[in-house]
Amino acid sequence: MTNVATINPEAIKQRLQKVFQDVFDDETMQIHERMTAAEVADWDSLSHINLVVAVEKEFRVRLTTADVRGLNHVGDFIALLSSKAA
Amino acid sequence: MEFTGVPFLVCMPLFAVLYRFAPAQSRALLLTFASYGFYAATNAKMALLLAAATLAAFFAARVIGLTPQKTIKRTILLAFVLVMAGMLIAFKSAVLLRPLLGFDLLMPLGISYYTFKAIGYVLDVYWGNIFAENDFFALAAYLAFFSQIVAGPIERAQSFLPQLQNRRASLSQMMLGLQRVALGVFKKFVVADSLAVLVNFIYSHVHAAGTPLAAGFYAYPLQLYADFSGLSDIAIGAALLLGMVSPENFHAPFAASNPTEFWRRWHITLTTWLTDYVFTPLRMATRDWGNAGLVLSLSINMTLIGAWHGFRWGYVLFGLVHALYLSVDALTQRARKRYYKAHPGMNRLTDWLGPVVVFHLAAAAFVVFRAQTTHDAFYVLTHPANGLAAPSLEFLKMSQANVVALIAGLVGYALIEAADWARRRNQQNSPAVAWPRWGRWSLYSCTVVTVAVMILLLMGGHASQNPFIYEIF
Repeated sequence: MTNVATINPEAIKQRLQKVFQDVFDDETMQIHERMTAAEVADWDSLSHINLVVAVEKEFRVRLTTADVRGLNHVGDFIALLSSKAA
Repeated sequence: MEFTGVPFLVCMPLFAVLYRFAPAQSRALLLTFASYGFYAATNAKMALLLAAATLAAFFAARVIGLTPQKTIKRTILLAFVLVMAGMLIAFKSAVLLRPLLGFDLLMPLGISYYTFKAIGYVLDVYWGNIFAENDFFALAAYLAFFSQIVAGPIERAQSFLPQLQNRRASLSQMMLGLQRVALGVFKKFVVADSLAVLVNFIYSHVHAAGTPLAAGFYAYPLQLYADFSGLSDIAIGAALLLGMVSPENFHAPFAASNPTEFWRRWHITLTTWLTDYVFTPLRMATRDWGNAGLVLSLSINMTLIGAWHGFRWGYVLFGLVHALYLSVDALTQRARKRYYKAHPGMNRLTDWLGPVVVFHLAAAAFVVFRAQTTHDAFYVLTHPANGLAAPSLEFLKMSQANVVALIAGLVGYALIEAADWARRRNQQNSPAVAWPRWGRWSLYSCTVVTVAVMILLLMGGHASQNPFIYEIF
């Protein structure tokens, strides 16, 4: 497991894809920057927190409630994780 | 002032015309005056409480927005939320303690709705989602908006406030608004009030021999949906007449195939409010506790949804029953998904069975919600076959006396489901102005006919005697 500080947005996206596949239990899932909860049937307020927990574990970061409120699409996750690395 | 009474149905279109031709700068003031007029027609004294809550929200948000000091922001936020929640709790418990207090305390109209709007607004300013509003009357219009004060929808400030600057309502919007009001009135008069006769009979004769309890079990969810969604339709339609788009409160709730989806379709604005301001912060705080954190957060959230209706064991239990459904749903989701992946045939079967199961689960929780006591609720749920073989004479007499109303109620219910479906389909595809000419004119003529029928009904003195169920919360 690499620390978030050593990776670029494309690498973040790839690791994020694995997290999404895991949380939504779908190995074929392909994520993209503009992807929102509306596009993923199981992405609701419950699985959103599961996603946050899985992201925290994978990227070894601690997110705040304020961080989580701003996570509306996949691009927001990437931007947030990049900013945590900066 | 009642939504289904003559004064409202006459004043509303007149106000829509006035609002349409008023200059944009005066709209907030105009809407505030109209809303306070509407409020005062029901209870003038309690309008002062609404005004006080508005002043408090206005200044709390202004200070939070202006001060750079975090401790001051946090203190004011905490004080404001405590005062608003305290006010709501005090009134809800005063109603409960009425026999002990020795005097009759009226529940202020819409207090459950405007306190939630005010708390949401100040929290959003604190979180930096929106700027504090500069125009006092814009905030006053938001909190007192007559179409939403009776029973929601609980619209967010960021959605409402910019709409005060909207262009004038288009002809198509006004037509859709009138149709929506007409649909709401139909749901209330024809469906909810007719089914109420049956439901009221069953729940007032729970322990009498020969009362078919199953009829109450099935009819109450339909009555409640027709009643509450009808009220939301009138609220949304009345706002559309002013060119203002309100959030939807229902989305075919009985088509949900699991309990989580049910809450995404039932009383949507209350659920999303609690999700954003209570559930998500709570779930974040408990996220390291595994499944226990999930169940605890769901239980607190759903108990609050139950208690929001009032401090009665039935409402709290209603929330807890739903917490149980949601917990089981969330905890078994992964296993179910894997099972269906391995058995696609079963998946197709549960697509059909899911809504049937969810309807029965929801109906069981509504029994707890509706019954006079938890003992009655338990009795209804454990005696589903009561009275089916040999209904009591009293029940047969009631059915015979109301046979037309009951048939109208059931046929009407099928019609509202069809109308809801058609409306959602059309709105998703295109606005009415983009329809072919025949479509537009059939919409317009249907609207004119429905309004004419409605006016005749009202002039004939058939105004509903039963208040809307959600008006009292």
